[in-house]
Amino acid sequence: MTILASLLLWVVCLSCHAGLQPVRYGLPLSSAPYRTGMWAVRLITSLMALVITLRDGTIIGMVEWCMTFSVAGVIVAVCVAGLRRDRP
Amino acid sequence: MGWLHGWVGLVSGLCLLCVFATGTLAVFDTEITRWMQPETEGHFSTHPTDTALSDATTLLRSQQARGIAAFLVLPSVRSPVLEILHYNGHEFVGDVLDPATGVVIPTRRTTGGKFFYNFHYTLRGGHETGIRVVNMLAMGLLVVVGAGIIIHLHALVPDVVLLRLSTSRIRSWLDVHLLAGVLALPFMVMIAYTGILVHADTIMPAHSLLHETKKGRISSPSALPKPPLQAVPPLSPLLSIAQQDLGGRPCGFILFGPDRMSIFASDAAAPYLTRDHVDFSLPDGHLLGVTLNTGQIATTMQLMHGLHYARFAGPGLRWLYFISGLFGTAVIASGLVLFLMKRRRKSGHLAIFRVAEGLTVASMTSLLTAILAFLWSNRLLPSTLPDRDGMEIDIFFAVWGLGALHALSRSLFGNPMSGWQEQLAAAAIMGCGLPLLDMVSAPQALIHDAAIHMGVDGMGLVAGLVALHAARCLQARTA
Repeated sequence: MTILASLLLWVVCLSCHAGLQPVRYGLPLSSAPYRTGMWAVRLITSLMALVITLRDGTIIGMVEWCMTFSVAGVIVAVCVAGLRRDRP
Repeated sequence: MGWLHGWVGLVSGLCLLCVFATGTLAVFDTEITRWMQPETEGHFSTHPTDTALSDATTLLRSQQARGIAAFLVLPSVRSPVLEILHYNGHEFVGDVLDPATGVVIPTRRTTGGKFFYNFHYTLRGGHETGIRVVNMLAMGLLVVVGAGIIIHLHALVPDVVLLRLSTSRIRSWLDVHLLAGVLALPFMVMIAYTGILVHADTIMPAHSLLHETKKGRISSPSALPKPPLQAVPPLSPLLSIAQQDLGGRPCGFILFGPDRMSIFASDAAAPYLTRDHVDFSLPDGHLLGVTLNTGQIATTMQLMHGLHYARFAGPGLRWLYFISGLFGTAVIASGLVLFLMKRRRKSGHLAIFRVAEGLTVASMTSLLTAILAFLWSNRLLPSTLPDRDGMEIDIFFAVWGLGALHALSRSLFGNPMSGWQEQLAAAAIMGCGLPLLDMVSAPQALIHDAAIHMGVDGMGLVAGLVALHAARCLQARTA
């Protein structure tokens, strides 16, 4: 459960990370308030993932946090690449 | 930095790919062993009975009387059977006992997942040379990773999830390499660093001197007669005392000396892989002492061992280790492919380039085919065949060797794409056929131990489908 929650939070975090750099990732541009929101979500979700995983203990938590980051990164990368390919 | 990253990456990457791939499989070594011994199905319990423990110690003592340095492994969640193991020079192998009745389960002889574990850190090159080579390679990996970080530093954070599949092929491969490399960076640094520390002594100059001294001591004949093997008292009460003295950690294995026995804490108890143990005298079972290694240096090394071996990990974290290992393998594989792609136009006609491509095919697709052949041989060789465990390993190396010869010949004769395609096709057939083979050869085990069998079969199927997709992509490009 911890791993799934951390994975989900990292997916949200990294999605916001991609959304904050629309030109680089070929995503639609967003307005300034929307960008501020994404910036905050990116920060909060990564910290929330850390807090959740650390409940399993410092060492196991850190390992889970780093590894779920890797898996979430691939999920987001594939989704963003798919979005870019689907765009006309 | 580009030169360092590319050339050190190529030289060390060819071997590191094999080390990473087998290390990734070794994350599930116990589960692979269970898949390869379907006879154990239905004999599971994590609490051995008194009868089973008594029968196990009797059998173990009889083996010790014959000069076999055997020890007893207690049942655990991952391996819920009793095992009497000894070291055969490469792996710990031996008898498997039913934890309820103590009867020896007539399992087929196989090294199982332990073969991948041993290959991962020795390359089957012996306990001295092999470990030293792997440690050197791991240091090479840290150099390559460091150089890669410096090259990619400016875009490390912004491009962390960047993948462009619709641009040029070389750009897509580079994105795959960077994506997997950056995302798996914490894991790769941790696993390489802890891996070096686990066997740090082998790369120190004093090690060879120490080893020679030890060898001299061992080879000198002992003047003292061997003491008689004392009887072993009932183990259950001693296990309870040991667990209490070990701070509630479950017991993992028991070593038996002629007149004493040591009960060790389970490796799965915590991220710190300790060798804390409780000693009892034989035959009366009196407590002799408790050994807890709690110094700062000892604790640090226990953590390094624990993080690398990942024996503390539950199923979820174990899968994360496995997936991270696959990412690490993908980083190295994509790096090797990129190295060839970048130089094909300019140097593709050179013999050295063709050898490099042949070796890349050998370490990627031939290794995959050999791993699948190892699993296939487990089911196709008769279970009663003598020395069948050695034959499984022989088949692994024979398939890998033939694959390497095939790849090199295709590459040297100017047709490397055929080499890739044919080997990918072979891997696809063997991978996709693995679940069918398991279904036909061990239908009962598939029902009783479904998670293990579905996991191994599923991974075989995924590997087969990936190989099939890659083969079709190559075919479309060359057509």
